[in-house]
Amino acid sequence: MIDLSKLPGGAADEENVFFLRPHWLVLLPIIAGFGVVLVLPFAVWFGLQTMNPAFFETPGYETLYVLGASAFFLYAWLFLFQIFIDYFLDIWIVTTHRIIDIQQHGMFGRTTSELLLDRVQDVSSDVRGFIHTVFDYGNVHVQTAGERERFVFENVPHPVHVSKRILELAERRRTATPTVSRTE
Amino acid sequence: MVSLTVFLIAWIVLLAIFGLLVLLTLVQMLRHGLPSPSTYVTTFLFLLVTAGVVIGTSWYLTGVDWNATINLVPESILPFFLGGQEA
Repeated sequence: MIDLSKLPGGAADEENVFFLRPHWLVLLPIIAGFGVVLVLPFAVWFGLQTMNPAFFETPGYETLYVLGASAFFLYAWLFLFQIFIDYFLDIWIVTTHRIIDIQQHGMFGRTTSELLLDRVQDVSSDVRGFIHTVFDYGNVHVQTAGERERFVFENVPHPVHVSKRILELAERRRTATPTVSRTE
Repeated sequence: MVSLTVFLIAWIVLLAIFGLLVLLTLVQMLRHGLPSPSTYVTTFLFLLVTAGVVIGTSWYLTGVDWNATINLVPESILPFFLGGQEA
């Protein structure tokens, strides 16, 4: 497991500032969709009982249905859990020295990237849409001196506050380490 | 006519594959997750529901006569395929 108090390659005076993962509302449409899928075996059972009661009186049909429905339910349940893991293991850690971006891609894909705060040039945030505005979550874009955007924190809570805080930390880090080359 | 045991064997094979996938999923979750209550609670909930379904199904299957055979095409729809002739 990831121990936040002992991040790999951490300096002695490094402190965790933010631990971020996407807002839980991102999961809601997926869970609602899977709720329907998981209820399906029971709904079909009651539907058949009501509309065609003779169906389950045929020898073996009930057993066949139970076997099929349980296998369907178990695999759907596993798939839902894997989607949850995909969400749950996407994390961004902001410390006083760096930003760590850990992304889970499916079952076996995992990317870990790191960016030192003194390399951060610009941080912006965007909150788009009614739901995002009401629940205050959105994206934070972290830019280094290069042309390409370095990190995007997707659908994190309080993006404006996070972006401001990262800029502050980056500024503080730059003043603390004046010898760092900024010729990128 | 197909013996019901054929479907039981197919179900057991599917369950074995499912077990393997669950194991891999749990390893991912517990290796890369944070040591927080949410990790343990969600993992426990997942295992609880899984165990409930497997145990419930197994309990139902203990009462089934496995010597029975099943006609996969219901007799009521055979005339549809055989052009009105009874099988």
